[in-house]
Amino acid sequence: MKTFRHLIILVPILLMFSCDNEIPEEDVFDNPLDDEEVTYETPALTFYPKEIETNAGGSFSVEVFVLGVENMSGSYVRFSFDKARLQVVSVNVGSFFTDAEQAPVFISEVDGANGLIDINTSFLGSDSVSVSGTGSLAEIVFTALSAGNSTLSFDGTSELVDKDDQPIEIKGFGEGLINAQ
Amino acid sequence: MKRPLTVFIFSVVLMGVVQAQYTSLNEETKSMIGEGKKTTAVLDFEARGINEREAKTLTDRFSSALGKTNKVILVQRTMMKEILEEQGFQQSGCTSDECAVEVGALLGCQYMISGAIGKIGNSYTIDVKNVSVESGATENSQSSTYAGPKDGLIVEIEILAWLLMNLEPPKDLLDKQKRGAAAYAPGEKPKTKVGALMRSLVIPGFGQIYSGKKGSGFAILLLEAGMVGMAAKSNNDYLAFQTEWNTQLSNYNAATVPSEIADYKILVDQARSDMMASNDQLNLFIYASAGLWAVNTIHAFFVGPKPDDDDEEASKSSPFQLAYSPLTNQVKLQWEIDL
Repeated sequence: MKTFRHLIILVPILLMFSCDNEIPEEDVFDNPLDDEEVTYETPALTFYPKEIETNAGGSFSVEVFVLGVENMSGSYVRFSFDKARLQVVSVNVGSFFTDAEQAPVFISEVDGANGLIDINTSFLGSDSVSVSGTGSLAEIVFTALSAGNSTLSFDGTSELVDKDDQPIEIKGFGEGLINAQ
Repeated sequence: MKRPLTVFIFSVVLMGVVQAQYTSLNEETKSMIGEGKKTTAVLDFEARGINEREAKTLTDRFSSALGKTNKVILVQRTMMKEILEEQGFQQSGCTSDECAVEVGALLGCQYMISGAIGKIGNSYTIDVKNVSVESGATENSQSSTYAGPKDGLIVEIEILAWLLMNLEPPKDLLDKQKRGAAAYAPGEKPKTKVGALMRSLVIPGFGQIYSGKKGSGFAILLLEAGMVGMAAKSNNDYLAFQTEWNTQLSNYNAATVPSEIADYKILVDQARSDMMASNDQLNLFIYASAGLWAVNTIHAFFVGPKPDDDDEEASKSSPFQLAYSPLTNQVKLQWEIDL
């Protein structure tokens, strides 16, 4: 009985010493805008954030980003959304073009019946400026109509052009995932 | 010729005294005599290797135990002493059966018990015998050999009192015999190697402190505390770096500018490296601490308290001693100093 009492004291001590701290995985980077980590090649179009947790009836915003582009002067982006679960509240121009020297032309069209959004952004004029790198093309505000998962997917007709209006090949597309509770 | 006459006169006087006392005895004593219990006196045991004071103390304890057997009517030792002193009889020199019979006749009792306590090496021997005064024959004799602290002799001699009366010693006495000297230190359990081991198992160094090795005990305790402290510090560092890692990972995930993304990635990686370093350090101190804990436990066992088999050495180390005084019938704290 006495030995048992000592063991009762001893066991927690041994357990205390047996615990070990966890070291997180090295590969934790999954920012969709980190061109070193994305699975697709650049130039690419993606949504940021790529996963959104929200509540049914709640609003959220998602940005359309272009990654690793060189000398882009215009873009046409089309993507689909689940019209049964999401409703578009607004579409706003992103910072990629607005941060440039020249103000861009920004036109967006929402086809709520088919769940499609078209976004045109471009600089006008023959000596138009261009942008390079990674940046936001547009910000879209949605309302989650009902609970459930839905995706945002780019259409293959999307295109990027340089200042000579020559197309820039889009090598990758990211998806957006909306989870409404 | 003069001496037998003197003995005769004193015997008559003693018998008169006994008779006088007998008439004033209470009913219980009368019934004891009526039951055929024999009057018995106990001579001081001969001391051979222990001092006489201790021998007298043990004789007194033997007499007490003998009284508890309820088989004899004991002649009071104080009375016996007075009578023998009046007779000019040196009890200490009375070791033979003949002498015991002579004293018994002088006291007017039926039986005389004498004995000797000797020491050979680390062992003690106790021999007691019950001699009939009338016949001079040894009615019964018992002996015991004992190795251990001197305190244990008390139990041994009490048991012999029962055995000499051909009785089974009480269970509590036999239990005391098993426990040894510790039976006389209530509240203070005997120190054992296992006790030291268990204490060191629970708190490092405590086993050594328990065994009296305070230097090594406190050194181990401090060392262990230092290691546990360093382990705790490493763990705190780990937690701080973990918080940093979480913060920078959140920043990375929230970043939309490529340069910021790259910067935050570096910070996340740095925090992770720091976490690993802290965790490695934590493990190092934990293993070192556990190792020291284990070594301390083994050490506590091997340097644990040893049985006090040489209590004379122990008595030399301390000038204070507990001793029974038959004069006051009390245990006294004595202080001795060599001049």
